[in-house]
Amino acid sequence: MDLWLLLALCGLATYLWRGAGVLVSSGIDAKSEVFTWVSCVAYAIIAGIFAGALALWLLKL
Amino acid sequence: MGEAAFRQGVREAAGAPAAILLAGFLGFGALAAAQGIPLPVAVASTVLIWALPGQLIFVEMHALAAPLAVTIVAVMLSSARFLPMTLMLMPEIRDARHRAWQYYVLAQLLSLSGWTFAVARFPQLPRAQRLAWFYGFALVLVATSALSTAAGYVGADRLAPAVQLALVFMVPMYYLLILSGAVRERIAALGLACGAVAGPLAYFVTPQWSVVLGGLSGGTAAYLLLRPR
Repeated sequence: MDLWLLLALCGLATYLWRGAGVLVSSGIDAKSEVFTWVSCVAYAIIAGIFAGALALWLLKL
Repeated sequence: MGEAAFRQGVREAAGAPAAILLAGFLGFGALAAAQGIPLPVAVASTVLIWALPGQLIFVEMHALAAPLAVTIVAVMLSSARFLPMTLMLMPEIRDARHRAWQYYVLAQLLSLSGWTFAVARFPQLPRAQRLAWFYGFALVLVATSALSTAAGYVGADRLAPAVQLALVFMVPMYYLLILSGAVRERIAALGLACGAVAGPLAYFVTPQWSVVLGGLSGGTAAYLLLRPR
């Protein structure tokens, strides 16, 4: 599989959120429930990735 | 755009902010080399994805030979934080003198590091200067990170695997410290704590889907804990 294509799609997948943020920033309520849930999931994903990598790192020591 | 504000952004980034990313992307470059990603792809991922967790998923999923759709969904979910980050920053930057496309370029330049510093710096900057300041600040960070990715890749043999990961971890640890005083502190603390537990647990259920499953379950758990009873 073409790695460049995969990279382009991953870049696009990331930009989707960035662009959507600009697009809807004038009309969304930053205090809404959906917004809170999205933030929770976003933080959980970041922590999950780093916790997993940290566990692998400790196993290698 | 204000040239003076742009140059001020460049100056302010060329210190601790650039140094911490230099270390982080040295580590990322070395990890990418170890996982068999070609050098140009590794450097391009820093510019095109411009989000360390997403880039780590890209590299790890390639090493695991995960299906295309799984990789893209995982990267997409790991990048979901850019929506609330952009939503929080945009009202501070909007100005009648700017063009719409300038906001969409800014969105690509945004990272956790740039966002953290912008949130702290904007109250002291006149609204009209913020966009130019951020362009200068973020461009220094992107350039430093791209060069560090290449340097880490080339020098991978001289870095022990433990050191490579330690370098990558410096970045989130550093920004977690800065963010600990943030406005949405309770969301950040609960989300991070639940994710740190749910992520590794999900790995035992399904390694390929662990990022997605751990994030959704951990995030939803944090959301339920947050809700007033």
